[in-house]
Amino acid sequence: MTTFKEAFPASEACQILTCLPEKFIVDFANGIDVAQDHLRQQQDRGFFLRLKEGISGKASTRQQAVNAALLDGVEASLQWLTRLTSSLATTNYALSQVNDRLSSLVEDTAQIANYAVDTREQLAVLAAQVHDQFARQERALAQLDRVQRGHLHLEEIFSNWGAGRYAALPLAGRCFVALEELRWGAFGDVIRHGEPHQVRQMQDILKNRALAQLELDSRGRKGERHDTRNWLAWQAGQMPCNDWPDTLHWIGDWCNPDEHPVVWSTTQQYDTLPLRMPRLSSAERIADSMVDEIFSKEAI
Amino acid sequence: MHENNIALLCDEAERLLELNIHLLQKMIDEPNVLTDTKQGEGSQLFDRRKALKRIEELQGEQLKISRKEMVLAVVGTMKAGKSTTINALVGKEILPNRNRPMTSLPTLIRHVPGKVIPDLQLNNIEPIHALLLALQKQIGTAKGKALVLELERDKDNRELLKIPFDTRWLKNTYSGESEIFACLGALNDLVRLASALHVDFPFDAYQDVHELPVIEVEFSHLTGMDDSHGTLTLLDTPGPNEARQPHLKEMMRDQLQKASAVLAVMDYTQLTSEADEAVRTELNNIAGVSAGRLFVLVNKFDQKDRNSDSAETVKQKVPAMLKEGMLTGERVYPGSSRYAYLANRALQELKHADSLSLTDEWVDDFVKETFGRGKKETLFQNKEMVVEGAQGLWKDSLLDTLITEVIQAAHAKAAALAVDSAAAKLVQNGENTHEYLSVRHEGLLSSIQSLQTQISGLLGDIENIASCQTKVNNVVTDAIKKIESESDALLKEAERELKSGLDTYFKHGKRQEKQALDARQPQVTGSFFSSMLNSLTGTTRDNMRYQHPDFDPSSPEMKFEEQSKAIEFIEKIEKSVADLLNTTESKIKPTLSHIIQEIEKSFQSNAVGSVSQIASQINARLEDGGFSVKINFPNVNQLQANLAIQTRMTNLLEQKSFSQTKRRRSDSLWGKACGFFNTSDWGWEEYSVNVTRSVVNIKTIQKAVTQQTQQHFNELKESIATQINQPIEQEVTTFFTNFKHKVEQLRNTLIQSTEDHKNNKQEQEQLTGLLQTLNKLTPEMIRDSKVLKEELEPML
Repeated sequence: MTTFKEAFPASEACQILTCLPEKFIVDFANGIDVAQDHLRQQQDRGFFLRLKEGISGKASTRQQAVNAALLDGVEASLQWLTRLTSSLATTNYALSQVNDRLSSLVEDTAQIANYAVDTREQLAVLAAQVHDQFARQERALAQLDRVQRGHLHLEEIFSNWGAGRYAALPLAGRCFVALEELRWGAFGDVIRHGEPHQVRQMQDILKNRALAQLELDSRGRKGERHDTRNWLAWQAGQMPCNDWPDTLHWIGDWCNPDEHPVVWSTTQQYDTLPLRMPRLSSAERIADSMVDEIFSKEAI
Repeated sequence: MHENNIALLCDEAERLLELNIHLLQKMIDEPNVLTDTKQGEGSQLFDRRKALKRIEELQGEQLKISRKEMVLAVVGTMKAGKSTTINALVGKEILPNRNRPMTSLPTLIRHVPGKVIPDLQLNNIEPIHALLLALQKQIGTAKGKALVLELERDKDNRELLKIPFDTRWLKNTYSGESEIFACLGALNDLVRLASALHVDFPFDAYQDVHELPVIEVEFSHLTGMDDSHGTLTLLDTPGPNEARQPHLKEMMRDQLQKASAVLAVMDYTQLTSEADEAVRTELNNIAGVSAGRLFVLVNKFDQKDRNSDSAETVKQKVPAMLKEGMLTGERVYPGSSRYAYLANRALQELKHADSLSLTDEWVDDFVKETFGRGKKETLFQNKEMVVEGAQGLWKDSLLDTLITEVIQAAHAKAAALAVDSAAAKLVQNGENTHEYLSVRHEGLLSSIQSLQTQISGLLGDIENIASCQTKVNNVVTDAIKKIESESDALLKEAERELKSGLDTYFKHGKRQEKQALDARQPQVTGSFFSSMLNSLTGTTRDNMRYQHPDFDPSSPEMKFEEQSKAIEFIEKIEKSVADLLNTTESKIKPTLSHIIQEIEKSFQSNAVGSVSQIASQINARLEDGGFSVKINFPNVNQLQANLAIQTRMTNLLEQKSFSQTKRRRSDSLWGKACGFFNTSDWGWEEYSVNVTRSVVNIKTIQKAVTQQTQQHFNELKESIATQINQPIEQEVTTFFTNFKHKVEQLRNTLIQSTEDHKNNKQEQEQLTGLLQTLNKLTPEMIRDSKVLKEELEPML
């Protein structure tokens, strides 16, 4: 199976963001059930489907026709997922979510009488495999210094940002992708599993780093507030010719305007701002709130 | 933050208001979050009633922001044509052209599109009712009767005296020009009458601009004004110099400060007299409180002739009258309110008619200014030409440019004020809500036992506060006693000095008298001249005394050969008395400032120390009990700030008593002594039988002086009591009441938490979740509101 980077050479987002395959696998796993998440189903999944087609098309030209027919079936999906989880580099966070999803699928199928035996077996195998993989990774993680890995991850992402890799995005969008990258990876692991004081410390460091970088990018004076729309706006001419807007929209598909006003305005709809979104924002306000919105998601 | 961003600041304030209202409404709607405080029960940090009131307040702020009321204060130097200017802006004769300076309440004139017939609203009439009753009562007293007698000498004043007994004119709404004129006139008279009868006019009740009388009418030339600009309101005010009442003066200063823009109307014809120091001072005073928002209309520019200043010269001259940088030439408009008024009125009437009335007087003026000697009968057959002429005249008046530019400047200021007022309320609401939700939330999480510890601990704090208050009260009482004894001592000192001063004068006078007599000794008695006079007047009594000089160094009477000498003598005494009073007052002022500083200091060490200790003790105890919320207690700095204002009050006091002295000189006993009315009061008599001699009785003078200084010092002491002692006591009491109240509210809220614990586990969990969700919003609300407030500060 090809990686995202190989599969989408023309997409800047796929070249830069490492969290895309992770989210893709989780979304894929979550999409397997008949009883799909209502919220997700309602949302525009165009970008996800494009990724799906891209990945399957490039993966095997011979099987393309077969896949196209079977892709939506549970059996084909499971096959796909098996290949995805073993071939695409998967983070602890993605694996744990896939693991959860598979466990509940096993439970679901157990309750359905006359469920296809093949599929049931296939599911059991996959579940066991993912579970093993997850457990192995958990053990490996426990041995290594999780906090150190988290710090390293933080450095990596901020060096990306500082080097201008997210330059095509709006200012708030840059902050958002950086935070999402962190959430899906080793940094997120610290937040999810670390000691409370470690978590607080990491979040404070993150807020400071994000604030500093945002202020640098905006070339504003320290603490200065700007029209919020300036933080959210795409640079003229940048928007139509790349897939960044769709990528942002897809990565942020978990948010809602009431609880995540900053993420919502950054990824979903920035022409009508939600009530909780300030009309004037400083770099600090954006950074602080975005960190809270993205990482408090983990606490729940 | 640049002024261009004002629209964004408005948006942000509106958002925050909406968010706050939203949260409060949720708190009301969700079960168990807010309680109804029943009568007799101690109130909590927050309850349903308070929440409803808060929502109302915040909605009021929303309205203010959406209306963006621009208040353009119009002030005029003496007879500069302020009323004409206002009438010109409105396009109607909305204000009477008064000849005497108005000391009445400032009046708002609001542009309400579509309102053709003006009306005046007087919303707050209670204080005036009370004043009328107070005046009736005062007229009944002995003091009042004496004042009435004095007033009745003047025919105009006799009319004034009828006012308190006919209250029918007083109502909430007056419709049409004539009713409005009558009401404004009556108010003006009332202010004058109150001052004459020594009853305070309730200016305090009208301190807030929203309490002032409002005239609503459509301004004819603003019909096209952009709605997004908000509403325009003119504030008709006496200038700081014109307002003779000290209260009114303070009030004006305040209102000029708050006005979105200030338009000072000056008189072009007065401008040319270089020596007009009064106008200069007045303008400087106005600019002092309205720098950056000041516009100057140099009115009556239509009276320019070949030799007078050109527009350019005027634009240089006026800024030069002010301190450097206060006003630029671009904001000086040499114009004509009269042109504007005539043009505006003509345009207004031609909207509804084909021609102007040939008989109206103003029409003659209009024709003369617009068409020179043209015959109006022929002119008026051509409506188009008349309209064109009026439009030209309006343009020439320069008021059009002025108003456009003023509105632009006023708009930003009006919006900033509205947002600032909202921001203050937002911060307060955010903090209160946060505090309450946190206490309730954390109260649920902590144990009953811990709650009980807090509750009983707070009871001890309340007792501590009470004993602390007693201590501070003692300090304050001592200080006030000190103020009293010091001012008494100063009074005695002044009396003594007065007495010795009078003695000196008297001795000196006697010496002069003796010299004069000695010089006259050889003179033949019963000269032709004097006997002729005697025969004319038909009495010889004085002549007899003259013939037998009766100089008696111990007699209290002093005789003067010439009337002018006697006057001079009296004037000297009068002047030295006035000087002495001024000296005493200037001694009192630093003494008072010093004592007040001491009160501040002792308040610092006693109250602030122990009270903030109690506050931090409460917060520390809460923290020990597992509470993370930090309770805000009434800020002790507030008291300091208020005391600082009280220190400023001594300035006011000085001004007040000084002006009283002056007033007395000009229209009361002092002045009358100089003016030869009522001379017996001042102990000097002009013998009607003999114009060549005047007798001054030093005893009577002494009595009068003592009486008047006594009265003066009583007034002074009264001012000290009402302006310093009472506010300090009030301030201290308010502070402690608020502080105690807050602690009690906290305690009651914690008691509510013990009640919460009595519910079953599921209910408790539900409430915990609810409180947590609601409280999630408060930190960002507080944060955003505070930044908003900070950003506005430089714009105000």
